[in-house]
Order: sequence, then C-alpha cells, then structure tokens
Amino acid sequence: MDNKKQKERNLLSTYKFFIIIPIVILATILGIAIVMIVWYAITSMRWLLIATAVFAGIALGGYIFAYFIIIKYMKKVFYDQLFSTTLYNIKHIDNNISDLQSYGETSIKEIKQLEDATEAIKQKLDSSFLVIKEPDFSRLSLEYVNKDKKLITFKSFRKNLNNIIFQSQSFRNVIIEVFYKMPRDFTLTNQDKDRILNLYFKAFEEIRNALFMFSDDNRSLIIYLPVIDSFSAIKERLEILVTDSSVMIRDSSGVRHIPAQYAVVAYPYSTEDMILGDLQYAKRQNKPYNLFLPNRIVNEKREHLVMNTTMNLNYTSKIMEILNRLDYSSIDNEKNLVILRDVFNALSNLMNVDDVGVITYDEVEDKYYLYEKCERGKMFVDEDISKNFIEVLEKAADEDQTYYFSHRKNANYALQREIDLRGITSGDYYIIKSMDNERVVAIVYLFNRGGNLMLNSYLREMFLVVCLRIESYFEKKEIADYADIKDDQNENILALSNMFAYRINNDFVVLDTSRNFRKIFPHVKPGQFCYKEFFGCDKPCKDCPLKVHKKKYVNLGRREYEVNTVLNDRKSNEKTVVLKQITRELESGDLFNNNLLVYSYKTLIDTLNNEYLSAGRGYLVLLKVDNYNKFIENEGSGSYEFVMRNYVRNLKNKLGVDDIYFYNPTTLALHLPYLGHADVINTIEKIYPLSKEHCLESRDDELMITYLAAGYPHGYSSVDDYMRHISDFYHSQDYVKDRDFIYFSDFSISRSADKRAFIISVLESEFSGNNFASMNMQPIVKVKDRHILGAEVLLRINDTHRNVFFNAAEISRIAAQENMTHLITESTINFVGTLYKEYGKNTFKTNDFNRIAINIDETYILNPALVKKVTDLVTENKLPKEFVSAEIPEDLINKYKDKVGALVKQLSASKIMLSCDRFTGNYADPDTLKELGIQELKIARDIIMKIDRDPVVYEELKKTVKHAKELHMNIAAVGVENETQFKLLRDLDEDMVVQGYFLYKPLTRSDLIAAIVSYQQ
Amino acid sequence: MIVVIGASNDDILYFENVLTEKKEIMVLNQYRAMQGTMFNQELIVVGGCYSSVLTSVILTNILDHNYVDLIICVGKCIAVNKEIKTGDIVISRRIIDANVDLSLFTNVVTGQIPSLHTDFDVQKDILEYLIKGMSRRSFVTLHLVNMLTSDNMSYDMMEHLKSHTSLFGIEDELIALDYNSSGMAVAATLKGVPFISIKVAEVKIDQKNNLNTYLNVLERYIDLGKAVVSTIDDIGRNDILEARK
Repeated sequence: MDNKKQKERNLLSTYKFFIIIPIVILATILGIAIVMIVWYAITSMRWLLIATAVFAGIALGGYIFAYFIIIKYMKKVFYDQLFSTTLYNIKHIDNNISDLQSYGETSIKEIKQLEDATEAIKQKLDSSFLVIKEPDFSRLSLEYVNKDKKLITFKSFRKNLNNIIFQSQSFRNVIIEVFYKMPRDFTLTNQDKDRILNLYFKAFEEIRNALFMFSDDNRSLIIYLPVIDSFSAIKERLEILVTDSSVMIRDSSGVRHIPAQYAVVAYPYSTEDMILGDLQYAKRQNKPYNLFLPNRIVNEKREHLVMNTTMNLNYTSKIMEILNRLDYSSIDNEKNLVILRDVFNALSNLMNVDDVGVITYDEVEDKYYLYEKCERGKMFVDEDISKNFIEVLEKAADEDQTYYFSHRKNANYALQREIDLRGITSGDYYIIKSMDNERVVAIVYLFNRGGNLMLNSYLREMFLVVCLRIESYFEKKEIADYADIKDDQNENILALSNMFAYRINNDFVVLDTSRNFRKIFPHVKPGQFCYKEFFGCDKPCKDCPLKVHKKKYVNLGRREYEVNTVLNDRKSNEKTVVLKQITRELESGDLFNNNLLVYSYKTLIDTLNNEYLSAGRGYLVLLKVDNYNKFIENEGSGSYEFVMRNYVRNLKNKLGVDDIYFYNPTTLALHLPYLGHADVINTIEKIYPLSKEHCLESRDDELMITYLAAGYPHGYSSVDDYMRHISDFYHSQDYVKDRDFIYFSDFSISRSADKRAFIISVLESEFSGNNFASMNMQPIVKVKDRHILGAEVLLRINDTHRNVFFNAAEISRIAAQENMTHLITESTINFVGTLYKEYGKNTFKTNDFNRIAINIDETYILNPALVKKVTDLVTENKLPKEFVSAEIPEDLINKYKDKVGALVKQLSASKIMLSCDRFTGNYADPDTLKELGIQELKIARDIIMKIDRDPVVYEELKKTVKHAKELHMNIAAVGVENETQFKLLRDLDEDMVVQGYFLYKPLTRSDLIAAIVSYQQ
Repeated sequence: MIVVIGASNDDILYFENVLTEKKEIMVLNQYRAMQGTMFNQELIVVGGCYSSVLTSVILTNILDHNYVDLIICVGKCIAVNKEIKTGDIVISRRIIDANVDLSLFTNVVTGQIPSLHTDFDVQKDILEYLIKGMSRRSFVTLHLVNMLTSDNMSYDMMEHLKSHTSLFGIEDELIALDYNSSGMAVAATLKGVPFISIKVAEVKIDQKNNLNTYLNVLERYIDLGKAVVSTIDDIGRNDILEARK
C-alpha cells in the first residue's frame, strides 16, 4: 500500500515535470554547446569544433526523441484517458445512462479522483428514477392583470404561445375556452367576469402555472393548463362547474340564462401554430362540451423543440427487451410471471412508484385477481379488487384506455371514493379489454400510496408502449386458450355425433387425425396414404368424395360410415375428410338437420305450434334454391351442401338470423316472428347479398333463391292448415323461378329481393313515358305577400310495397351507377317543358308565376351532356329568361371548384338562373359564390329550423343576408315549418322567397295549379 | 322578508337578477348572499346550500338576524315516479328527511327526528298561491310531491331510497329527491317560519345526469323563477302570512 502511495503522482507535478525537464535539458545542451563554442573561439582548436557539432547533433537528437516520448505520454493521459473518457461519460450522464467508461489504470491522483466520482455517479444512475421538471413562465413577457400572476391578457398569451408550450411541452397542455353564445350587443359584465374567474381559479387551483385570460370580445374565459392528467377528469369537472357558470341577460324577449359552453383543445394533439385555430373549430361544433383532438402528423423540423426532455428512450427499450421474452404458448406460466415481475420492478424503480402490477379476470370464478406485481408492491390483496372497483376504473379511462391522476384531487369523483378506500393517492393505469370489447380482461397499473406521481407525456407514452406489449401478450394468451378450449370442444362434438375426422393433403397423405379417430383406427399414422390404410387400395379411390364431390358409403369393420368433405375450406390445400357413423338415431326425429346444420322440419312445426299457442303473429319465408341442380350436376351433392352451409353460417354470423329451419333438401325456412310484410321485405333485402357471396374456387356458386313469404295466423286456424297453405303455395305455379324475387302468398306483391334491381325497375317504370307521377312541386313563395312565384321540382317516388318514399339521394346514386340519370333528367326536362306549354302562356303569366327550380346533382357536374339537355330545354321551349333556376348544393360547389365554373358559365349563357342550394356558409362564402356567377343563396333547412330557438343563429343569418344583399344576390329559405320562422324571415328581408311545410307541402301538378289560382282568388 | 335558497349559482341567478336595491352580504363570513327588494318586499337570495346540514346552518343564521315570513327552496331534483317527466316542475307538499332513521334507538319512525314531526308539511295557503302563480305564468306541467331529502346522492343510495319508500308510507304517492329541502324544513319549523320547496326535475332516478340534462333544466329555471316571483307579488298584495303574525 505504501509502495503504491509512493508511486502515485500529482497531475500538477507531472505537468511541471514534463514542462521543466525538457527546458532544463535544452538549456544544459545549449549551455554546453555555447561553452564549447566560446572555448573554440579562444583556442581555435579544430577538433573542438567537430566535437561541439557532434555533441549538439547527439544532444538534439536525444532531446527530440525524449520530447516525442513525452508528447505520446501526454496524449495518452490528457486526450485518450482524460478528454475522451470524460466526453463519453458526460454524454451518457446527460442521457441518464449508467454505462460509464473507466479511466483505466493510472498513477495520477486527479484521474483516480475522477474515476471514483464516475463510479459514484454510475451507482446513483443505476438506482435513480426520473423527476419531472415543471414549466416556468417567469422569463416570458406575459402581461399579468392581477397580482397573483394568474390572469393575463389574451394578446400576450397569443404572442408567447410558442414559448409557453415549449416550457411545458413534455405534458399534455390544454386550452379550455368557457364561452357564452350571447346576442350581438351583449358581453360579460365585470360582475360576471369576477364571479366566473373566481369560480375557475378555485376549480383549477391545484394546477400550478395555470393561466387565465378573457377573450378580446369579452364573451369567453380562456384557461391554459400546462399539465393535465386525463380528459375525462377535465370533462367531469367542467360538467359540474357548468351549474355555477351561467350568466343572465335581459333583452327584448325577457330575461334569459346563457349557459357556459366549453371548447377544449390540447397540445400535442394540436400543434402550437394550430392550437388556437383548432379552438375556434371546437367552438363551432356548438355542443355543450366540445373536445377536439386532431391527429395530425407532426413536422419533423420541429423535433428540436422536443429534445428538451428528461426522458430517455433507452429505458423503454430495456423494459421491452425483458417483455419480448414472454411466451404465451408456454405451459410454464411461472416463467411469464417472473418476466412480468422483472418489468414491474424496472418500472417501479424508474418512476419511483410504490406498486406496479397487473390485475386480471378469472372467467371460471368470475372475479378479478392480482396476476403479478413488483416486489415492493404491497397495495393489493385479491379481496381489494372488487368488480365495482374495476368498473369505476373502466368508466374513468380516456379513449386511449389509459387514465392518469397525478394527485388524488385530479381523479374523477367516483374514482376518488374507490382509491380512498385503498389508500391510493396517485397513479396511472391501462385497461385491457377482451377481443369483443365487452369485458375488462386485465388492468396494468402504477399506484402510489402517500405521494404524487408526476409523469410527463414521454413517460406516459413509455408506460403505454409497455402496456400495449402486455396487452398483446394477454390477447395472444386468450386466443391460445380459446383455441385449446375450442379444440377440445370440437373433439367432443365429433365424439358425441359419432363422427371422426382426418386431414390429408393433395397427395392423399394423412396429416392429422381427430382424437376419437386415433382410438378407432390406431394403426393410421400421419404420413401414410389414406387410401392404402383405410380402404386397402394401391391408388386413390375412384369414388373419393374429394374427387367426385359426392358422399361415399363404406363398411369399415362391423360398422357403416358415410364419408364426406363438408368441413372443408375449398380454398385450402389441406382437406378434411369426415367419417360419419350411420345409426338409426341420427336419421329420425332429430332437432337439428345434420347436413345443413339448421333446425329440423320437426323443430319448425314445434316452433309454429308454440307461436299458435301464444297467439303469435309473423311470417315464414321459404328460401327456395332454384339452381341446386347446377351444383349437384357439376360438382356433386358435397358441393351443394358446402355452399348451403356457408350460406347458413353467413346468415347466422353476419346478420344474426338464427331461426333457420330445414323445409326440404332444396329449401330453407326462415321464421320471422312479430314482423309485418314491410319488415319481411327489409329483412330479405338484407339477406339477399349473402346468396351472392362466393365460397368455391369456381366462383360460379351464386345461389338463385325465390323467397316465398306467408304470414300467420292470417285466418289459418291451426299449424296444419297453415303448413298446408304454404305447401300449396310452394307447389303452385304462381311465381317465376330463377329471378331472385319475393312473393307473398296472401297478396299479389312481387318484387326483386335485390334492392338495387328493384330501384332500377322502379326507375324504368316511373320514367318510361311521360306520366310524371313521381314529379312533385313545392311552391316558392314571396315572404312579403305569400304570393306563389315559382316552384321547385322534387322527385317523390313511392315504394308502394312499403308505403314510404324512396330517398331521392339513393335513387340518384343508383341511377348514376346504372347510367340511368338521363331518364330522370329527361323526365324532369320534359316535365318542365310540358308544364310550360300547358300553363306558361295563361295560368303562369296571369298569376306572375315565373320560376321552376331544378336540382343539379353530382351527375350533372360530371356529365356535361346532361347540362346540354337542360340548356336545350330553354332554347326549344323558348322559356323566358331565368324561368328555369338550377340549384347546385354548396358542398358540391366546394367539392368540384374547378368544374363548377364551366357549368355555371354554360347554364348562365342559356339564361338559367343559378342558385346555391343548402347554403350554410361552411364551405363557401357569398363573395366566392358571386364571383362564380351564382345569383341566389338558398339558406339551408338546418339553419332555418334553429332561428326561432337560437338568437345567435338568427343574428348570424342576419349578417349573411346583409352581406348577400350588398352583393346584390337574391335570398331564399327552405324548411320554413312554423309561423315564427316565417315572421322572422319576413322581418329580415321582405324580398326573400321561402319554401316549407308551413306554407305548402310538395304538390302534384294539378294541386299546384289549383294553389296558384286559389291564391289569386 | 322572504328568503330564497338554492345550491348552485344558476339555481338563484334569476332571483339575483330581478332584485332591486340589491347589496351583497356574507352569511357566516363565507356564504355569499344577495339582499334586495322585490314588489316592495325584502328578499334574501342565498346559494351554496349543498346538503341538508349546511342548509339548516345557513338558514338558522339568517333567521336569527332577520324577521323572515317565508322560505322558498329552489333548484333541481330527481324524479322517482314515471309520471314526473324531466323538465317538469315539482312543488313539495311534504318534506321528509331521508337521512334519518333512529327508530332502533328511540320511539320514532323512519325519517323522524326526535322531538320533531314525522315529516314536514308545507302550509296550505303558500301551496295554493304558488300553484295559482305557476298555472298563470307557466305552461310547464306541475306536480305536488313528497320531497325526500338525502345528503347521499350516490346511485346506490338512490336505489335504496326508491325501494324503501314504503318505510316512509309514501310508496303510492309522487316522490322527488333532493339534497337540501329537509335542512330548510328543520330550520324553518324550529323558528316557526312557513316554507316551500319548488324544483325542476332534472333526471329520472335511474338516469345519469349530464350536460344535456342540465341544459334542459336551465330552460325551465326561468319558468320557475317567474312563477315564484309572481307568487311573491301575490303574497305581498294579499298579506297571506297572517297566520304567522
């Protein structure tokens, strides 16, 4: 030890030694050389000169060599050892990584001190946890309005927004706007402002550095919260605050409460440059609580802002490394528990949390229990984990299934009660739900007892990533468990139904056999040829069901078996062959039909008997497969059974239709209790597409089904009578096959089961010939004197089978897809032309009826030929200027900005008036529309229906009308449904024209003429 | 003087706004109240009356310092019977303290505080005037109910109350639930002041309240306020409170 101490050198003395020694040596060499030169000068001895030169040469060479050694030593000590190692360590310390480099063997005291210090830091980092830095706004130039530095001006907030968010970017920061929809002349009074401010100060007092400001228009309070835990807690708190937040105004309509509404946006969902815009967007949703969290992709250039974080992603990858070792298929669950425990220990140390663990659900016991926890976690015993607790945790969770509460006060109120009972003061958790989303299967939690838990968004993201990995473990485990159970169930079902199964490949090599199969045929092993082992053949059997697609009957031992391939997936290369033992019991009186896996005919009769006993009503629909012969002839009965089973499975799984019965081998019966004939049509429309789904490789497997519906009791006194009636109907020739049609036995309704085909047939019948039965007209009325100045042509096609009108948009869409729009257009144009010819010169002229409006939909914009037809109408019939008005919806104008200009030009050139239909102002402003050449704004129904209830909407409409009038545009309104709305519109603008049920419903042509005439009278 | 009490700010906002010559006063140095006049009558409007206990304390303090003729409790409540729709206005004809059950310890029935009545009946004259005022000023459906008060408004407790109304002998009558009326009734009874509770039904007992249910209530607050103000006017003109004098 003493020797070691003696060898130890001081860095300064080493430095001095290496500086002074070369100088001394150099000085000595120079001294000697000078002495020798002086001596030579005095004596002039030649050998002295030579000796001096040799000495100087050797001495300088030695000096340079020594200097090189010294430089090398110094590089090693100061650069390699001191600088490089220190730089490496500093970088690691900065990133909170405990993997620090050693300075290596050294005899220098200071470097040894550095080595010791590094070792100490390494130990600290190993046992460290992260502490979050809180935002600090003190250096920002915020203009504070009050002394406690909470209320600031909105202007200074806007100016400093980027820096404010930068300070607290590691958290979810939220901007809440508490806004009041007040009439134009009203703002918050000073008294209101004081009260509201105090209320919200108090409500958010525990959130440090919260900022409050009133908007420039004095109608809202804006709150900035730099750190929030969960959106659900914010929503809950605001829902409670709303009861104290209303203000009261007194205007011409009396005294009114104006309730507070909330708009909420958050960083990082909104970026700092978009957040205030997003706040305005949230406000426009105009609900009591408007949360807007856009999911934009963040520009990478902004990454530098995100670097200021205490988080290090290495922690996540380290924890994930452990998690990757989880093995869901492992029988040794203990191994997985150890892995989870390691992860929870790491999380607990990193975040300094008292308890980390996972709670899971035991399906058999129907209760929740602690699956695994960290070693220091002692918070829960299984008795603490009640279903109610889990329910409360589930309810509080945000949309991403996490929930974080940094303090007890921040937790939702229902949750507070539960965590108080368990002594939890802060935490974060993640809910894992079952695959059907019905049940909580596990909860990964971080819970603290007696302290706060500050997690920034990086730590929360890290926790989320870890939870997602644990979730995928539980999911895979659930699937594996489920598969095991299903495997067992399948084996049991096979055994109970006296069926055996084995899988083979295309070469007839046995791949696998069912458990009961192995008991009966123990000699058959995977890898053997099935034809050889079962049937004793040298080559594949000629009548193999896989080749001929027909069932095969064989005798194996003393028993007879039916061999079929009904369980097959035709697309797979592996084939499953089923051997069904034939017994008497299976053939008679079964509840189920074993071939099609539906209820048997006997069950159908039982069901109907029950219906008759309970005086039930409903329908039985026979699904008669018309093209079954095609399957039998082409591919054999196995193929027909396969297609039908697939069809039945789809009916059950996709539409939930479960009451399916066997009627006869080519017909299924669908029982529809409590349904009327219109519901039956709806149901058949829904099930029709399933008959056209493909499940065979040939794709020639569409079913042609005739749907025969018969209602009960409908005068049939017993089930026997009813079934006889159905049988008669089934065997009658009252219907046409192979058309996918629906027929009713009791009344003469028949139509296609395909809704689309039906609509096409309706279109063909409605628009062939000029009967114009489907054309209705809604009068356009002057608001000033209720004079009918025009009418809008509306398509009203009645579905006579159901007594409802078809949706006009659906009709237009199908017509466009089937290239039938021209039928509607031509019919509309002919209708307008005929109308003008008949009444234009007399009734219309004398009654000052001067406008017919037609709707321009998407098909017109995409197909200029249709527009040509409209313009031809004007020319051919010599219609007066602006007699025809074309109405283009605002959203389409926006969608086809580039095409609408040309369309408008073309129509305007033909003296057609252009109107913007369904105008809301959401897609286009009046200036743009005016520039496009639109002459009229037709205010949308959605706005008109609110004007008598919401003064704010009325005020906004007033502004729009004023603006449009300044642009010399006409105003129309649709959807006027009561007198108040009518009067309000009249007060707004006497030149306005209106439509609505308050004035006239859509009228037939004769009713319209009568209305025009009666007004005059 | 008439006292109007409510819990949230919105409960009493209308009354604060229609007061004239108003001034702010603090009750027990903590609870903000507004004093003013309406139809020549003095009025105190006080909020923050959450729970029957606090209501009782606040009211007792006001009654100690003022000569009060009538106390009106306003706000929202929960409808128990299906006949009461959300948005309907309910008027208490009887108030029952559902917090109390001392029947095991003393000779009282469930809901009865020893030395007080089993329940608290509203004075008939007040009831008549209020119903008249309501029918004249509002088209909203009115119900005369038994107002059950409980300081525990958890869903479990509501279920408990719903299934135990037979204990209070009111299982066949209309019932509404709130959290402050019985506090008013106790304080008023001890001081001999007439009282009434008039509330808007916010939700049904098996329904969860939210922002939308609240906004419906808010629309009705004006009807309720107008009717109460109109009744106060009638009371002032008819001097019906002679019974007390």
